[in-house]
Amino acid sequence: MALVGNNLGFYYQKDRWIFKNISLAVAPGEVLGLSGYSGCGKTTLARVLAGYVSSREGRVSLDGGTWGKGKFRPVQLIYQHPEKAIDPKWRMGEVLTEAYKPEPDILEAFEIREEWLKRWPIELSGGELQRFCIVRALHPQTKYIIADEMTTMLDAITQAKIWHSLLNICQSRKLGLIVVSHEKSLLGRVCDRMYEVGHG
Amino acid sequence: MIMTRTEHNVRKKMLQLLVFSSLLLLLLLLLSFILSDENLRLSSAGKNLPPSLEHLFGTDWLGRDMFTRTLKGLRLSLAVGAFASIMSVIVATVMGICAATFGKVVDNTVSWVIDLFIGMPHLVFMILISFIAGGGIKGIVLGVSLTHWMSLARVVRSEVLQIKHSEYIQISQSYGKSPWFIARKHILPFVLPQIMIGFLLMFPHVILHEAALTFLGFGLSPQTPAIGIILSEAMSHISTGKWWLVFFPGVLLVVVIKSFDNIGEQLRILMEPSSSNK
Repeated sequence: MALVGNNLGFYYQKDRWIFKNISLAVAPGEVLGLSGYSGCGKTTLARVLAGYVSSREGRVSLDGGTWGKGKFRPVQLIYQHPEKAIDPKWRMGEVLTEAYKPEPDILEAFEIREEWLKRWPIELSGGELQRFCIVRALHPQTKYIIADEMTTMLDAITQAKIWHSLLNICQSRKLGLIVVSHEKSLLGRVCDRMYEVGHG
Repeated sequence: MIMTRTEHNVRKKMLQLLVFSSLLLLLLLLLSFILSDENLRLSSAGKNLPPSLEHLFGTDWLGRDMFTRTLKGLRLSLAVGAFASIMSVIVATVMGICAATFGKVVDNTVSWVIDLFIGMPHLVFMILISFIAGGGIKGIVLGVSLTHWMSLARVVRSEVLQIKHSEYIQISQSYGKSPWFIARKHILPFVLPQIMIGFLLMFPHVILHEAALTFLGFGLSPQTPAIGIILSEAMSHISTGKWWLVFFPGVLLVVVIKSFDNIGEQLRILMEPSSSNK
């Protein structure tokens, strides 16, 4: 029972490997940190693990199997830039309920106000949008969440609040969490284990 | 403060222009229905009259009122224009979306066809198509809609390519949403403004080309009251000093086309996101 990446390797141009021989696993309820210098392939690795692109080498398995095509993917990726991850032509209420209808207590945990649901995405700040993206990813069928530089552009207080709420929910639902960040201090605070990308 | 006031005025002026153009077109359309066919009767008494209060645009060599003829001719031209514009917008949208979504082979084929059509001289190609189709309204609609879709298809293709790999569409895919859902809910709202404006800007083209084709003798038959017919008939009378036969219909055609162009242009500017919140 885990999200396992076995001997993963990826390149965009043939034989110019962005990373190679990466093996990692995260169990339900566990928080794994991925760190590394800029451009070492953290985001690409996150996309491979979330099933957005398939690896050139090795394979990703979910609880021993893989996920079906055209069905909800139990591994959800939260992007760095929420304004790109939300359709600018949709109202926030539609964005929130695209995959499922969240319970009021989740909205409360992330301090999403009722009046925001009627607004357009350009009328909310980055931090407010990012909370919608997190709630969207917390679908009842979600088993693992990959947070790719999720709070990098937020102020310290908002960062702390968001991480607090997310870690609580992951604990209570036994979700596996992979935190991708270059901030060692953040990773040190939230993670059980660390994995350094681009080191051998 | 001063900045916002001038911007506000610019926007107001654009809206006024838009309303004025639309009202003008509506008025012409209404008039063409109100004016009776009686005015088109042949009358030997009122032949070749210059413009007067009774006959605003004068009468022709058969005694028909030119004002009535011109307006009824314009109505037919507008109807043909609307139909041909819709046809070419449909062709453009289908081609553009297919090129962007169905992979490299389809994209290359569509792009090649677009280049081929753009490379050919417009009018010659249109004459050829309407000649093959046997002339008439069918020939004009086919000729115009098959030669005007390319630029819009290119716009649609590039728009779809641009958002096809956007993060919110990939996220929608990760929720297991169907391609049909994504096309309808994410892609269509994004390209719809371009399609609408493409439709409006196509209009004047179609009317002008219909007039041109008919003028050259490849379009409508002589008894249909189209603007091109009126102009080409009037040409043979201009040397005998009956200037009103060609002047007024020509001016009205230019006014109508400019109005459509205006509406399309103003809407395009008003709907652009960067200026929509001024």
